Amino acid sequence: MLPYPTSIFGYFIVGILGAITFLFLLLLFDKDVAILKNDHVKIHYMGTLYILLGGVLAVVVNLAGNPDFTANQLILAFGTGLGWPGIAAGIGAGRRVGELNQEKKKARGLNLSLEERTDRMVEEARKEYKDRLERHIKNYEILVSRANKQIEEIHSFYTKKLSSIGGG
Amino acid sequence: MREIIVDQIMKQPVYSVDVEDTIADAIKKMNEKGTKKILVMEKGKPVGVLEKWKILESDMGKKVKDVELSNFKVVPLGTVLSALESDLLNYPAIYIFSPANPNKILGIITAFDLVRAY
Repeated sequence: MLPYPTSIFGYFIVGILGAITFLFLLLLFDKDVAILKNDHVKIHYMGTLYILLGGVLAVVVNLAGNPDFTANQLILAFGTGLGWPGIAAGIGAGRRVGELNQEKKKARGLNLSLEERTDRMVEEARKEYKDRLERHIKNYEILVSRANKQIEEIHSFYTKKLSSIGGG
Repeated sequence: MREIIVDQIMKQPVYSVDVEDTIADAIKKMNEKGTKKILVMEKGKPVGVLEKWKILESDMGKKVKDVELSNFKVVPLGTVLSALESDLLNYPAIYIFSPANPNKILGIITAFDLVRAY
């Protein structure tokens, strides 16, 4: 048994051990240890902070209920250290779920805009082909009119020639 | 729809004969170049278009200036094709000149080119 205030040290050590156990278990399943990743603090500092805070939390929780460290308190102190990163991981997971939902909404939005864009492109293509068809019809009408005009010119030309030689 | 300008579809080079050339020479040139119409120049300026169908056997000995020439139209480079629809209907050919030198004919378009352009 460790009497108060020596018990603080005991709770702290056991809490740290719990936190280390948690992180070890985490490493078994998540090689990247996503909850330790931070843009501002390096991963080994984050790991150290996690472990130390596990110890601090174990001290705070246990000391209030039982200032003296006894064998009965061992499991509670260890559990506190083990469990607190779990809470943090849970918060992190919750945040990630929120991010995923946002990404899902964004993806839906993109999908919708893709449909809109496809509709617009189809409409533009339809209009372009309609314009082009009308343009072709008009051009062929001009060509036919030009051919008819030339036939008239040829007719007129040769009629004039024939009449000039007295054949018409 | 995109606008097409004459520069994009005009045919080059433009073949020409002089008013003093004989019809036989003009026909020979048209046969060599595979064209049915040829621009007629006088002192370096275009004055008309000689069309093959207007030439009779009896014209062979004549000079180009002695036969009936067709009217033509000239437009500068950069003219929009859609603006020439009625001209392509009325003239056998439209000639394209350089804005820098109106007597320098650079290309030719006909109603067939209008169809080909789109």
